[in-house]
Amino acid sequence: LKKEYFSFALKSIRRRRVRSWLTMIGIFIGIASVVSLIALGQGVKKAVVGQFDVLGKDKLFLSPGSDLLSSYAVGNSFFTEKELALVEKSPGVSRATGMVYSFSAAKYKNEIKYTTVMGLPTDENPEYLKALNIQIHEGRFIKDGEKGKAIIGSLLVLPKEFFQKAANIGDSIEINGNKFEIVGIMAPIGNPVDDSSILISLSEAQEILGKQGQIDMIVAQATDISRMNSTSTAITKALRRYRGLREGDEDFSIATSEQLIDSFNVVLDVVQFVVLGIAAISLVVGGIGIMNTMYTSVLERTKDIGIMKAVGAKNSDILFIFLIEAGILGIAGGLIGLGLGIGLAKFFEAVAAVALKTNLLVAQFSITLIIGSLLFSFFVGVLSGILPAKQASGMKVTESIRFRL
Amino acid sequence: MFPQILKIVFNYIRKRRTRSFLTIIGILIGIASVVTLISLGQGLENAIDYQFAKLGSNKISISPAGSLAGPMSSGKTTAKLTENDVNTIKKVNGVEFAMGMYASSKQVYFGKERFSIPIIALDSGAETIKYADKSGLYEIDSGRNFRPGERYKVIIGSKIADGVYHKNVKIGDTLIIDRLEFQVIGIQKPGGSAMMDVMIRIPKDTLREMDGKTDEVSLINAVADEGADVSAVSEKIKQALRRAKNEKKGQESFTVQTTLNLVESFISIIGVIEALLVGIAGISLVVGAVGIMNTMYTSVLERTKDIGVMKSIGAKEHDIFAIFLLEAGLLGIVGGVVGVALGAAGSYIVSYIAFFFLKTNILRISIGPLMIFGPLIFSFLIGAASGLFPAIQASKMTPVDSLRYE
Repeated sequence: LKKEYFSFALKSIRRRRVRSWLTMIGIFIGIASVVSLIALGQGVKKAVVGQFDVLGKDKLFLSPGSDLLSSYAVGNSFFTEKELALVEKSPGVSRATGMVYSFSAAKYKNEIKYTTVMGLPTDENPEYLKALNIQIHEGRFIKDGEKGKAIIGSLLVLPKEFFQKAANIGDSIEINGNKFEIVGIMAPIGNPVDDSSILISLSEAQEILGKQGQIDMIVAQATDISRMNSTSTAITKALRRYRGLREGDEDFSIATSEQLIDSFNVVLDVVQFVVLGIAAISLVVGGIGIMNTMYTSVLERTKDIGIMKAVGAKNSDILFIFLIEAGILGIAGGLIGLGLGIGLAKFFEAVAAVALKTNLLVAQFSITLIIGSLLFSFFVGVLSGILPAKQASGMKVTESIRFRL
Repeated sequence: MFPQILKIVFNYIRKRRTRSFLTIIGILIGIASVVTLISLGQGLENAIDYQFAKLGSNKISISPAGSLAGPMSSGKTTAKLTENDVNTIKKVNGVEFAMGMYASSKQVYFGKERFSIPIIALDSGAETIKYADKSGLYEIDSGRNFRPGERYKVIIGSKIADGVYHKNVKIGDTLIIDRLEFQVIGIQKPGGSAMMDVMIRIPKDTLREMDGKTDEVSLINAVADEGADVSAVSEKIKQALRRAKNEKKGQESFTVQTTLNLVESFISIIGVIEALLVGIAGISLVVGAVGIMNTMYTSVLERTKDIGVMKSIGAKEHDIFAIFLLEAGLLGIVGGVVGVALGAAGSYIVSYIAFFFLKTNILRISIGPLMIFGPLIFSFLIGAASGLFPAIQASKMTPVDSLRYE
């Protein structure tokens, strides 16, 4: 590769300034949209994985429905206290926590609204609750054996977000006609359903929600992360035997946090694939723009090509000059597009933070994404330049010198 | 003058064949993808409309607040509806009929095999049976419907009869639910979805007794009078229930939904997704438009001398302007014509593929005049808009300078 190739190519790009700019705009719009979509998609993935990481890789989640994600569909299936004990006794399980939840009427200052009420055991230590994504932001957790105390989600503390009037520690709130004193406020979780929920003790929840002896969800902690599968099998076997079910007939489901992540990721991948495919159409159009510019460039310099060939330039020299010009247009467009895409992704990140009231979405710019998009734009440029460059290199000296535009 | 301008434009487009062709491809790709996405989105909306039209638009359903996932999720909310509420609704003006359904999921034994199966129960009274027929709630394929006062009889969904248990369940067979024996008296016609076919019906009082409930209902179905304004009737139901249950507006323990509400909420979700995807696809149209602008600048540059000649023999500024604007618009509209054709073909192909894999018509593509002429006009406008600056540049050239241009 000779240095002159570059100076020829750059000169031609600089000479037709408007055209070069428009051609690069074509590429950078496409690169910018693809880069920002990938960065945001990776951000969503990271946020989801992060949520599950908080839960911990050593946890197993049991739900009474036969499909974990649609456990709502069979609303009146549940575990019993005995089954909870059975899970706790399974080999490899260090402890098991049972919870109940229900959509219930909450009354605050004469206003009734329906929201999720969760019952949690009060004999767990705060570290463990943190692992279940429950963090006390202000106040305290309910003490073991304490009655009539509640912890509220962060949206209830704000006026007009959930209740018209803001609730606070020390206030009293009624759930299904039973009075509770607010002792703590949860840290924001990031979605309005969780952030408007109310926590009370498991035993009281079972009583006032009409779920005596019932458990809606079990979280089991395994002793050994490397043996999650065998622990999960042991629990399944124990529950199956207790319920008298055959293998494959389970009417409950069990999953590790890793399995939950995987099922989410599959969905996310499909969505991202479709969206990227559609965004990539604009890259194809941009590539056609480069091809068009290169054909024009070849046409305009027909005479130059003839002269260069007459003074000894080989076919391969001409081919390289035009390929390099196309490649430069591509990679320059890619550079600007990358910058623009990063800006765009950051912008949507900020919009999401305001609109969804969560800082969970952080756009991710991996090295692969940055280098990859630059290489890709260069590749698009060169690919679009191949046909015009071949045309240029194949020109006959006599004809091209005689050429008139 | 106009025919002459057209002739100049056509000649030039033909002379720069490769460039015109590539510019047109740039536009047609964008138009084709936008047309495909919009017509697929509309096809989906049509399919939903069609499905709900079959259900009838005079149905109103009343459910406890929070039971968003249907009657089976009523176990996850403490809001309750009772037979009293059913009676309140029956008395509302404009309501032809109302009935409460009670749903529960149970272990159902057939021989030694058992499965957890949703049970949806309604009154076995004569009135209910008559209306169940009329409202298309279910149809009996073989066997018979309940008779008033029957307690331990079941009607089974078509998939329960054939598909769930190893052995087919026939009329006269016995199913065991909560240690009680039930005799199969009828099999429903297939409804087409798992929700409608994997289920069992038993008389409401029997099922409630098994759950230790007396007058709770999971869902109330109401039918508005023929020709009545369904949304007005549903508003009246809301008022009546609020008064009867002594609840304030905005604090209801129930939700009232009409078929229309459901359709609208579905369609607005699809609309948002469609807008997002069309927006992303629209980016390629912008890139195509930049391509037209580029081609037009090149074209102006190349013909600087021609412009000088035309001006010196009397062409006015607006003539030159018209030539270049028309050229740009023509590039756009040709791309539009091909793009619409490709887009229409693309959406039909996708709908056939979907039909082939899913065996149901979830995309009812219909390409109306708006879907054809809208993009055509749009593509002409895009072309003309992209050609605006180059055309202005061309029209402002002075004859002396342009003639001297090399």
